[in-house]
Amino acid sequence: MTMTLLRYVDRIVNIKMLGLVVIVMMSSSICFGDDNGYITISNPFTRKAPLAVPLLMTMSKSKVEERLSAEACKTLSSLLEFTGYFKLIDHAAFLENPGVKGIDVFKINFRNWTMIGSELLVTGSILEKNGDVTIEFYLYDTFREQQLVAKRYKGSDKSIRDICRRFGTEIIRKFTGSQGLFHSKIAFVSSGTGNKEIYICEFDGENPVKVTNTKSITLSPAWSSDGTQLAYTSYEKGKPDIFIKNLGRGNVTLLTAMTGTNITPAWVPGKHDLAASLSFEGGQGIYLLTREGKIRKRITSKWSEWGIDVSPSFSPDGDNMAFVSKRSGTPQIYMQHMDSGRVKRLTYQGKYNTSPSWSPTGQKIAYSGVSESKFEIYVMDLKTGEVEQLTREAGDNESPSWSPDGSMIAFSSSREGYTRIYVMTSSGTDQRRLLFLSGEQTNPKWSPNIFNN
Amino acid sequence: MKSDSAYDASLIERYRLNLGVEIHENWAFSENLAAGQKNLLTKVTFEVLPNGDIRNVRITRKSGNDYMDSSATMAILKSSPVRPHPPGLNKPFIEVRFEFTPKGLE
Amino acid sequence: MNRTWTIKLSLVCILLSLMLVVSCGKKKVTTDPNADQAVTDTMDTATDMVDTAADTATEEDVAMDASEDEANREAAAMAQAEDDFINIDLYFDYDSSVIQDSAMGIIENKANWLLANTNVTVVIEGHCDERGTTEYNLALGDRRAARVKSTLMNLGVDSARIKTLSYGEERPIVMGHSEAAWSKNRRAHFVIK
Repeated sequence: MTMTLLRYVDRIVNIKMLGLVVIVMMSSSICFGDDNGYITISNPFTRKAPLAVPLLMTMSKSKVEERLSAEACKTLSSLLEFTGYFKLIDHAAFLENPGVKGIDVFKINFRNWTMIGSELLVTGSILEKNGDVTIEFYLYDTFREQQLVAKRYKGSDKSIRDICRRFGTEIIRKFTGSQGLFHSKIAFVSSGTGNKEIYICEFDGENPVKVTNTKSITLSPAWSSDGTQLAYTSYEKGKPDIFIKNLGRGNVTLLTAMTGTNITPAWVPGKHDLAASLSFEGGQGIYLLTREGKIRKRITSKWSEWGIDVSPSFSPDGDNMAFVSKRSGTPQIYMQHMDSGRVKRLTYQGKYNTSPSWSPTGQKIAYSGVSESKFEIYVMDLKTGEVEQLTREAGDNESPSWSPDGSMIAFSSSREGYTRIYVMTSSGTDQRRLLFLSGEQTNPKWSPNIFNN
Repeated sequence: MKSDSAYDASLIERYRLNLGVEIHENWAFSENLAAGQKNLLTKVTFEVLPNGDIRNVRITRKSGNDYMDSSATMAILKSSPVRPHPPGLNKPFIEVRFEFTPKGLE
Repeated sequence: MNRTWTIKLSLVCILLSLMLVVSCGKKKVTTDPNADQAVTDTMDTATDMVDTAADTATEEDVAMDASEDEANREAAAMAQAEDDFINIDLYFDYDSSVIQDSAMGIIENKANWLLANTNVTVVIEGHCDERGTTEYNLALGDRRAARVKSTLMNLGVDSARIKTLSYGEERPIVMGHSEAAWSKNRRAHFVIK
């Protein structure tokens, strides 16, 4: 309910803003392109691609197939809507029913779809037999009347969601060339048990599961590059130490329990080394450790006995590391080149900038900064240096974390009172709560796509 | 006559520019869906009949991104029929060439 | 707690034994060849002595009470010092681990107590207010505790007796979203091991 309202408000704002843009940009959006006599048209309206997902055709016309068809339709619609790319058209507006009339390019009357504004159409069929299903999915461009994707899937009747995730990924790959995010998960901290423990849910908030049982303070989950291991800080031995849980086997090993405060683990991309912030040598500094906890080297130089360097976040190629440092007096975001050791300060606006998260698609860093006494999420473009503020709502907005395809950002927000996990598109639209558990939820960390789960 | 075709030429240019405005209004494109690729450029050519019907829409330069190309042709198709030829012009069709780019203009 | 009672008891015992010695010393018995005069003299002297003894006894009572009070006061003072050690926290400015001048007196008291109780080891806990990032606050709490430890070492306390532990913003002592609450949470707190 709230989601629909939020999106409606979002759209009104978008329309108003776009209206302004049109009036201002109208004259400058069309210009004489003297080269080859082409007229240049730029500054399109940003909006979602209207998409229709009607019910699947049931091959045996059984009740089971009807139920599963409804489940598949609903699930695929939700997945695609979650990305923020698509606007799902209400079934009530449909002028024909491919589930009855026909699902292939010869049977579909594309005018019936373009007329209701749908630019994309998904049709499909489902056959169920002895608890196994065969599903075919097709994606069409209604204006060009062309088939874009065709797939067939087999699985148990419990695997509808998995099949939808795979077809959804095909659709995203068709448009963006990326693997999307339907096979990713989000780890986060929740205090529902009375203690802070780490939980994992699917990318859309489904099926949350508690994965630690430290009965102490547990913080800062960090995914390995293949999504099989989770590092985190926990007080289970009486002080902040770093542990690693193998999610498949379930066993937990200690990474480091050096004297002092051991926090903010971050895996080096594609490797088993980790960076972490340790204080055993005086000053809180960032070190490089092996998977076994042996210290390879100190990454950030010791600039003061009372210095603080925390929260490392690597670029996707591992060549650079963003981090938070107090070296100029207040917490700001810096970047260090791993090979040369050269350090560059990134944030100059505001007195408190922290929680850097490097986009997996390269040249952007999301972070949380204090503006007018509360935290907001910002994204900095490293090429241009431009900073965009993505949140403006009431409450504190912290701990941004990118989806593996760089299209969305998860973060924590106290806009409803209690702190909850939220998601939004990477341009700040479609902000909504991801899930609701007892206690408060903080510290989200988005995993890579994990394909064999 | 020279003055006649010069007059026609300026009418046609003005007509094309106005068409550009009409079609721009129908052009919707989600940058996110094009994976934020910024330098996309699609060139499209089409013909407008005297009554405003559009025909023969063809992409003369692909951007490399299917969705981008599709959004450009869609903008044109959705706009049909457009405004009729300017009165006094006596041509079987007007050829129009547009290049679509998501970049803003300075 | 046990230590305090042991101290008190030993003090009382010491005082009691002192009292006995004192009273023994004051009693005298004399023999005189001039019996009658001597008797009278003795009687008088005895009376005098009795009176003196009585006076002395009163003085002794007062002295005993005074010493007992002294002992009690000392015991109370020691208990208070330990209480203060545990219950008086050091406070910090926002986003700072600098020891304020106004806090130096408190740190000196802590140091003195530690130097007087050499068999004690302590943990200094570093805490932050709720504002700011969880991770950054863990580091800030650690720096606060580390700075206090360093100051104590400068005042002569052996580093092996002091451990530090940061809780960041995870264990506030005052709930609330005002500076009144926040200022109480930005603290270093001592725990006796």
